This record gives sequence, structure tokens and C-alpha cells, in this order.
Amino acid sequence: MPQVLLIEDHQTVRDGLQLALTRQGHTVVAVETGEQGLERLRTTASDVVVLDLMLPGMDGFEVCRRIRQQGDLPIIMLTARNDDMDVVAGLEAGADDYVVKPVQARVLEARIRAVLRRTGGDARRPGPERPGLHQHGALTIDRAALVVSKDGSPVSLAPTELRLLLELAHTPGQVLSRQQLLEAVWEHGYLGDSRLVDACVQRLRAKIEDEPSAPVYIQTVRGFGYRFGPL
Amino acid sequence: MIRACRRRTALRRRVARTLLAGGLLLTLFTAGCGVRPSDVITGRAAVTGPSAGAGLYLISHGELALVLRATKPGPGPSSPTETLALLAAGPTPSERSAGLSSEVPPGVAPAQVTPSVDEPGITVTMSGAVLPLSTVAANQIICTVVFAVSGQGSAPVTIVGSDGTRPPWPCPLE
Amino acid sequence: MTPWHWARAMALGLRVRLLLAFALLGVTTTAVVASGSYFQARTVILQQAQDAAVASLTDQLSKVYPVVSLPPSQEELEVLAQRLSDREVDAVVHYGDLWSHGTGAADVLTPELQREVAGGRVAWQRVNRYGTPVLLIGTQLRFERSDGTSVPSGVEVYSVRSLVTEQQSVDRLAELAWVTGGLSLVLAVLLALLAAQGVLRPVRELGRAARKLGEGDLSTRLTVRGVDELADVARTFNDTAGTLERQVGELRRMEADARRFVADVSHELRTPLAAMTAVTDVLDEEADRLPGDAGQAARLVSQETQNLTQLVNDLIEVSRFDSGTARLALDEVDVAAAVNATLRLRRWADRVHTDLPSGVIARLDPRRLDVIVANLVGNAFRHGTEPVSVRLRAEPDWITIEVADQGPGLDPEVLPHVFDRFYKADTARTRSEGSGLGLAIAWENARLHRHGGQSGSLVAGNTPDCGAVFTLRLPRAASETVDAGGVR
Repeated sequence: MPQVLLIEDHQTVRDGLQLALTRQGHTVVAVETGEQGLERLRTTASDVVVLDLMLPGMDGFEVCRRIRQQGDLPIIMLTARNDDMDVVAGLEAGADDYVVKPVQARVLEARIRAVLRRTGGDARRPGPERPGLHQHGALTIDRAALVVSKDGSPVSLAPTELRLLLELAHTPGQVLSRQQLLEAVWEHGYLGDSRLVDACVQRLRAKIEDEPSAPVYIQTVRGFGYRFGPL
Repeated sequence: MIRACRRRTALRRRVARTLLAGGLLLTLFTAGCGVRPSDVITGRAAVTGPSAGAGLYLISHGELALVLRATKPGPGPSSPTETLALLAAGPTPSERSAGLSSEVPPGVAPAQVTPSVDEPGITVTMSGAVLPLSTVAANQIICTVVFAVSGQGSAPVTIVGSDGTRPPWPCPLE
Repeated sequence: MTPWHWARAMALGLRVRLLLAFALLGVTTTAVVASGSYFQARTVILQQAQDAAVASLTDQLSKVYPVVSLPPSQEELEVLAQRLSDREVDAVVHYGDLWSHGTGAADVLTPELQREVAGGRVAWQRVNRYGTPVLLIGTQLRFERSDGTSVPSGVEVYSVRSLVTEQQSVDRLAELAWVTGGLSLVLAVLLALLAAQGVLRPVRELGRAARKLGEGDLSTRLTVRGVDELADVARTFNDTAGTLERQVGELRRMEADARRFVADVSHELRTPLAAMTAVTDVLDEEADRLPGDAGQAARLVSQETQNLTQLVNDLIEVSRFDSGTARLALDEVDVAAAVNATLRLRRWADRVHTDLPSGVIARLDPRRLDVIVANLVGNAFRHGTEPVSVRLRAEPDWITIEVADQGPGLDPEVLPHVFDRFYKADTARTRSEGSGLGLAIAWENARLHRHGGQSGSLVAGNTPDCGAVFTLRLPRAASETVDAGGVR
């Protein structure tokens, strides 16, 4: 069962979420501060982190950045406001998805499952499996191993970033709208927040593009969405 | 609505007043401009001056008319007696052609003119009958005497003749 | 203002009234003075002329004496008339029926003049001869007697003297009077304009300031000049404007404080609600297994927690609109696909008749569109009868979505208030669903989408067949929100 690390400073919220998620079958480790969370990550293996942004001491953004530095662990943000600043900053810090408090346990649970599907295990892959490596310019995509290399060296991608790249690269040259990507990658349904897509694309470009400001692999098609290539 | 109506009548009143004032001024100006005809204005008494020669009264158009005769020796007042003699002689031909006549018979000359004794006035003593003289003839004599005698403008004149005395009478000319 | 109103305003205006008053004063004074002096001068001129003429005539006549012969002949009359006539004077002499003919002026003599002359006095009269004024003088020639009395000689002398020069002098006077009148009028007008300007300028300034104040610029002030009544008015205006500005500022501050309070409260509520919401699923699941009323209680708490969460979220949305911090997250969407997704998400797809042409792309905030459509369709289900229809129409710059039902429709009294916050059409109906802010938020969401100078709109109405219809109109290319605050 998936291990969930919950970092939330309000006790009742923490208890409530822990209770509900545990009933759903998750193993929940709940901590109060960011420092405790990072500490726990060193000792316990977790599958997903649910992180409140408003934390005492080290704030949620910093925690998110640190976790991202250390690995590809999926991060879901808990935010009390879906204002511009918080969400965008959190996505830029490396979060895969976000939910707005108050949130029903089942909604959070659905997000957790969705993000886990992106990592492996019962990861959904787009389209029929084409074994082997696929070369796109300087990128090498191994769909079976879910590894992306650039110029030979592997690139460390967050699960959502990887999933997004795979989705776009599956149909090179074809434009996919943000809504379509939200549905395919985040499983949000048609009317999710398109900022998620934009932030993820931005992080992806920073990692795989030679010149992130002049993208070659992930191209923006104004008025339509994104497209892989043409190279 | 009412306010608008009131304002309109106020405007009308003001306009009417202005027009009236202007109209008055205008009529004043136009009526009185320039030299206007006038009524008769009387001033002093008529021009007077001395007369020269003998003055006697003849008749013209039934009215007493004064006639002046140049006197021989030269201008200067002639005596009443001479004037009466001239009167009795009647109008000259030129005078006659001018329409003058006389009712004084020639027989009354010569006459004497003296101031009256009993009352103020003049007495003319004439030769011949005086009572049958017409009023006009008497007036001629009276006025001629009065004219000839200075200082007796309105004095009554008594004519005495051979047949009697006429009542004193002033000259009807003022 | 119509031309008639404008003309009337001008005619009754201050300037015109001052002008008329000054002009009337100037003209009246000048007229009175000028006409007075004119008449006076005219009288003097004429009198002098007449006196001089009479004196001249009598003087000349005195040279006639002493008269040596009477009656005069025609020739003598003509000679005398000739002697007395000169360039300006025509003399007429007559004795009885004899008239001097030389000058031919006898026809102008008036009977009343002759009457007076016959009375033994010097008489004169002004008449008009062929358009020019002439002076007629007449006198008898009398003989004086030593006692002071006089007798008429029967000769009458008349002189006809032209008064043209006097007329010219008098006319010159009149001209002068007119010129003076004109000048005084001009002066009066200038003075009036000056006075009017002095008064009108402050009045106009006051009018302008009042208008600016009325348009909302509460910092308008007048400069106080001088110490007269106008200065008083200006000072009063300034005081009033200052008070107004202060009070309005006060009110705005209070309103802002109230809004901030609502926002803060709503935010504070989120934390306890988060904890409660987290476990509503648990309560729902366990409700059946709880003994007695506990199950019902659990379901109740779960339900109300969700309602409370919805209400708090709505309050926070509304406070964002009021404070101007609401932002559009724009994306290109196929409107038909978006609406279908909304319906599908809430499992309404088979209960709603749709008329959604595909291929209509618009740049808007899909989340907000979802909120609006969901609210409208939800309301249609709740308050109207099925079938509910959703229709999409596209124009070059705008899209229109109509949500209609077959239900009883909206009361005319309800119609203007339907987008008010917490307005419930049927007060007897308990607040079973919805926070009371749904339509208000939908309305604000529509207005948040702006293009050019116009914003989107949401209007309510009734269909011809007694159903309610809500028409949403959004621009096809909404611009990014810079300051989207629209205080309703």
C-alpha cells in the first residue's frame, strides 16, 4: 500500500487527513513541520508526499525544492488559497499537483492514485507499447524502463514531467491542448487548471532543452497548446 | 411646469416694458424734431411813427379811412381849420379813383375848432347846418378834428352848426 | 439643449439682463438730457431769430416815417415791399385791397396772423412753405399822437423770412444728441459686459466645479477671491466638498474594512473546515453502521460540513471579486467541448438538451465557465421543469450561451434582484441547496471577462413559453486581468 508522508501543521487537519487516508488503505506518516518531514524522508521510504504550503519554520516551497533536489518523489501541494502566487510558485518549486483546502479525503486520494500511476508500478503508458529506445534529436526515450537520456546521460525527471514528455512524444508533431494534457496526464477532467500544464512544461524545458527560451522539443503552438517537435 | 410658465410671462412683461419706453422716446424724438410751425405770437404794439401833412378821414368801403395830404409850406402839422377845409373840399381825383368818397358837404367850411367850455372835449363850430349830417359824415369830422388836434385822443367832440348843436361824440376809432 | 432652450437661456441670462439694464439707463439718461437740452436750445435759437427778425423789421419800418401821403398807390406799396425785402426776407405790404405783388409771398399769410395784426399788435408765426419753415411777421403802420395813442394808417406790412439756417442749426443739435446717445449706449454696453464678466466668471467656475463634484471628483475646490457674496459661496462650496470628501472616504473605508473582515473570517474558517471535510467520507461510510440516531447525526454533520465548505469557498470568491484580486486563468477552449465536460462531470449529460456547434474556440477561463454553466443548469433543474436546454451561438467577437427551462419562469418582481447576493426568490423555501451566492458569483465571473471596453454579461429573462432563460455572453478573446476589480 502506498506510503504517504503528510506534512501539515494544523493538528486537526493533520489528524483528519491521516484518519481518512488510513481508512482508504494508505500508510500515513504525519509530521508537523518541514524539517521533520525531510528528516523522515531520510529514514522512511515514502511513495508520495502531501505537503502543506503554509508551514512554520521552513516554508512549503523550500521543502518542495529540497525534496525535488533529492529525487523524483511525487509531491502534492495542499494550499489554502488557489491564488496566483501560491499555486504558480509551488508548481515552479517542483510540485506535481495541488489541492485546495478544505478537501474531501476521496478527492485527495484520487490525486494520490493519479500521481502514483505516473511513476511506475501500474503506470499507464500512452498507446500501445513500443519496445525499445526512441530517438528524438538528442533525446533518447526508453519507454519500457521509463528513462530519458539526453546526449547519453540520463535526465532526472519528476513523474509528472516524465509522463507529460511521454504523452507529447507519443504523437510527435501533433498539437495537444492543455485540456487534453490535463485529462491525460493529471486526470483532472477537462476543466482543470491549465497552469499545471504550463508550469510542468516550463520545468521540463529547463531540463531537456538546450535553450529553454527557444524550445525545440516542447514547442508552444499559440492558441492551441503544445507539440513535440518538429525537430 | 408652473415655474416655466411664470418665467415666460416675466420675460414677456419685461420685453413689453422695454418696447414701451423705447416707443415713447422714439415718438418724442420724431415729433419734436426740426422747426415746427407755431401759433400766432403777439409781441409789442404795432410800429408807429409820425405822420406829416394834413390828415383827414374819408370813406372807403363804408369805413372811415385816413388820408394824408401834403401841406404846401412843408411838412409839419397843419391846423385843424385847414384840415377841415380840406375835408369839406372832398377827395381828390386820384383818391376818388382809389375808391374813396366823403359825405361831408362842402358847406361846413370854414370851421373853428376850440376846446369845449363846459366839459372836456373839443367844439367844432361849423358854417352851415350840422344836424342833417349823417353819422358817417359826423364821424369823419370828429375823427379828422381829433387827428388834427394833438393830445385829445378820446375826447368827445361837439359839433355846432348854424342850426344847432349835435351831442358830443368821441371818434369811434380808438 | 434644443436651440429654443439655448436661445431662451441666453435671452434670460445674466449678461443680457445687465446689458439691457445698463443700456436702458444710459439711453434713458442721454435721451432725457439730450432732448431737454435740444428743446431748450431750439427754443432759444428760434426766439433769438424771431426777435432779431422782428427788431429788424420794426427798425426798417421806423425809417418809413414820417408818412407824407396816404393812401399809398400800388407803386408805393411795391417800392416799400421791395425796400423791406432782401435775400432772406420777402415783404408783403397791403393797404385795403391793394397788395404788393413783387414777391408773391402773400399766399402764405395765415388768417389768424392777419387777425392779430389787425388788432394793432406786432404778431409773428412760424409756418411751413413748401416744406421749409418760414417766419411770418406782421404789423400795422400807425400814426402816433402826442397823447400817446395811435391811429392805424391802414397799411399792414408782413415779412416772410426763411428759417432754413435755424433749421440746420437745430438739426445739427439733433445729430449731436443722437451721436451722444449712441456713444452712451456703446459705453453702457461695454460697462455691462464688464460687470457681467466680473460676475459670470465666478459663477461659471462654480458651475464647473459643481459638475466635477457631481461626476465624482470629490477633491474639487474653488479658489476664493475677494470678500463679496461670490467669495462666500465659493468658501461654502469648498467646505461642503471637503465634508463630502471626508464622509465618502469614511464610508469607503468602512466598506473596505467590512469586505476585508469577511475575507479574513472566511479564510480563518478554512482551517477547521479542512479538518472536518477530510473526514466527511468516513462519516458517510460509517453512518449506516452507527447505532440509533448517531447514523443520522453523522450524515447530517457530513452534509452540512460540505454545505459550509461550499459557502465559505463562495464567500472567498466573492471577496476576491470585491477586492479586485480575482484573476483570469485564460486558455483556448472549444466552448462546446467545455460545456459538454461540465455536464458530463456532474452526470447531467442525458438530462439536458444541447445545441452546441463544435469548432467555436474562445479564449477564456475554463474553470469559471464551468462554474457559471454548472450554476445555471443546476438552478434550472432545481427551480424549473425539464427539459432543460443549453444553446451556444457564436459571433465574430462574442459567444452566447443560453440556458433555458420549461418551468414557471421568473416573477417580474424577482427579475431585478435575481443576481443579488443571498437573494432567495421564494423566502418560504428552506435553504436546501446552494449558498445563495451562486448567481452572484456567476454574474461576477461573466463580467471578469473583458474585451476592448466591454465586459461579459449574464442576464435573466423569461421565454415566450413561460420558462426562465439565462443568457451568458462572453468575449471570444478575453484580455488578461490587470485590475479586474468590479465592485457591484
